[in-house]
Amino acid sequence: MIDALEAVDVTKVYNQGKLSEVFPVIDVSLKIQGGSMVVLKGPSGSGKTTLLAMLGCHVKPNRGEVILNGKKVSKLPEKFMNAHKRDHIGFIFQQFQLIPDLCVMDNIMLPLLPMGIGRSRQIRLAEKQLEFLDLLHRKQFKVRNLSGGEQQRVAIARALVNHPNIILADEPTAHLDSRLTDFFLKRMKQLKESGHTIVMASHDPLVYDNPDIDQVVEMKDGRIVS
Amino acid sequence: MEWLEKQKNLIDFSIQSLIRRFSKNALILIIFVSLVFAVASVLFLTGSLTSEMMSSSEELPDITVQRILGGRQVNIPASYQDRIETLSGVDAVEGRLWGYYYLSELQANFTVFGMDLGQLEEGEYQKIINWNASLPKQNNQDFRMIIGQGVYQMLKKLHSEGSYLFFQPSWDVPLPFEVIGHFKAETSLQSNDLLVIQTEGARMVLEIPEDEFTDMAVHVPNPEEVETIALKIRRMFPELRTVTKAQIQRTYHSVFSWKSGFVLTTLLASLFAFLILIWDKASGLSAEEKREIGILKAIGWDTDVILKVKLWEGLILSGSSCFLGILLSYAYIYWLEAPVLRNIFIGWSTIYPSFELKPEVDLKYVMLIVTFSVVPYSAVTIFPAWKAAITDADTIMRNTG
Repeated sequence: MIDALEAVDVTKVYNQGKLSEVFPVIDVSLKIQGGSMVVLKGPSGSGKTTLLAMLGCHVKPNRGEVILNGKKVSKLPEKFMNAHKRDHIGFIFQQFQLIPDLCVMDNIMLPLLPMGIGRSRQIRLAEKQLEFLDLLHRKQFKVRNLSGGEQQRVAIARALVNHPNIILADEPTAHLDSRLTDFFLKRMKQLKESGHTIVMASHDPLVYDNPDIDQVVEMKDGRIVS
Repeated sequence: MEWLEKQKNLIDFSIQSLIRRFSKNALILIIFVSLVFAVASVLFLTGSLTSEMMSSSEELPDITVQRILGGRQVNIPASYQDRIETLSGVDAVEGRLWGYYYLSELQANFTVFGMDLGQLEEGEYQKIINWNASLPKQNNQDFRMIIGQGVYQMLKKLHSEGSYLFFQPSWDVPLPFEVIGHFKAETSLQSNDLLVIQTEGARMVLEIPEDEFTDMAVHVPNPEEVETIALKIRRMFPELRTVTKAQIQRTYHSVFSWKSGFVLTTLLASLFAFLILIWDKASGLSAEEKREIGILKAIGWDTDVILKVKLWEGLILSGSSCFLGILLSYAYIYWLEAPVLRNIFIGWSTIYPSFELKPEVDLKYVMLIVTFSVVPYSAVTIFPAWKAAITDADTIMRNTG
């Protein structure tokens, strides 16, 4: 099994040099095996989301490296980093980050638009994900009219639509009840079984105590504590 | 193929974004269309009129000679005609009779022009006149006239379109003039308020003595010699003023340019409002738009792709507004005959000419409108989007989510 994702001594500083300077992540190193399911656990403000954002190439670390499938991606120019992100990473945001005025299908197809994929193929790919997440019947609904659980499934479908091998999820069960959390974890297990690497930031015991989790990384004050 | 699909996808998304913000974009569209419509209408009308005047001014004499005494234009003695004809390079000198006549029934001044009507009864001129064939031949050939469309319509209301009684305070009795025809509507720009009377009759109506003319038309075959000959005429008769065809053409041009400038100045308020709108757009995106850019970046869109989408949005909105504005102004000027605006541009008399505006769209005006509307609008659309797109997706979403 190869190292799918690795952080080497990464540090992130916000508002550097200002009075409001904060260090959400300090000198963190982490290796995530390909095909495993990992949880970043810790209280609010522990740096889980920022570490996940750096692993997902959304945020560049101020120091250190993020290595994706053996390539140092965090120092790459934006265009190349984005190419890696598009090809390998699907990200599920805590607040879903969907466009509320667009319908479910259009939201899911968004990552495909700059890839030069024709409309009919986009539709096929999106419908496949909706079927997997049991949401096909809502495909023409505007996202603003969906429940929290349904919106989360749209966010998952969007993260999966371009077939990434790594899925990063930030507090994926924060808005879900126990039934939907169970549904979500089952889908993640299925993805893991099909070879995907999954990293979730969560402080939900239903997630980090789940028997299918391979590794739990605990964070506090921007550092890994266990 | 992939590149084409990508562009198609981006354009689709841009159109979708414009529709999603319908009320805001509809407002911009209405303002944009109105402004382009107003500016394009003024420019098209000016262009059309200038071109019309320029083409008709080709018929003007090469030099028009007027006599100025005491700062006023006075009649020229007929004897000057022979003297001017002796100048080398002069082909012919023609004495002209013209003036104004006040028609009390209509309470309006009309332009009277004296000429041999026989010239109008033959050749090309025949086609621009509706001849009154039903009238019996007058005994006195001097008391005949051809009138402009505007005069014809007004006399028709008085049931006097077949003949008219002229009267001057110095006369004992009025003189009846027969209307042998009227100019067709397409010549109205030049002939609307015109009464063309047989030379001798015009002398009587205008009270010009036998041995005098109002002014003279000098024909010079070689255009290179026009200025020199004009100078020679002024040297020969210092009280004469010469007006060349080129000077008249420049005057036409400046008259319409001045009027167009005046109307465009009145549009300054709307231009100002538009600039405020552009500034508002340039100064920042809404939180919703910023968040959307953050989302697109977070799911792997490159900055240049986001900028392309925003550029398409700007181009589609401003381009369609510009196209619509130009199309509406074309319809307004050439199909509806520019109601209201035409009176500002072509009214110089009590009656306004009802001529047909010939479609004359100058590409340089179209380019000018596009350059000053589509280009700045698209540019200011790009700037705030670029500012948002170069920020970390995470920062945008944290600040706006």
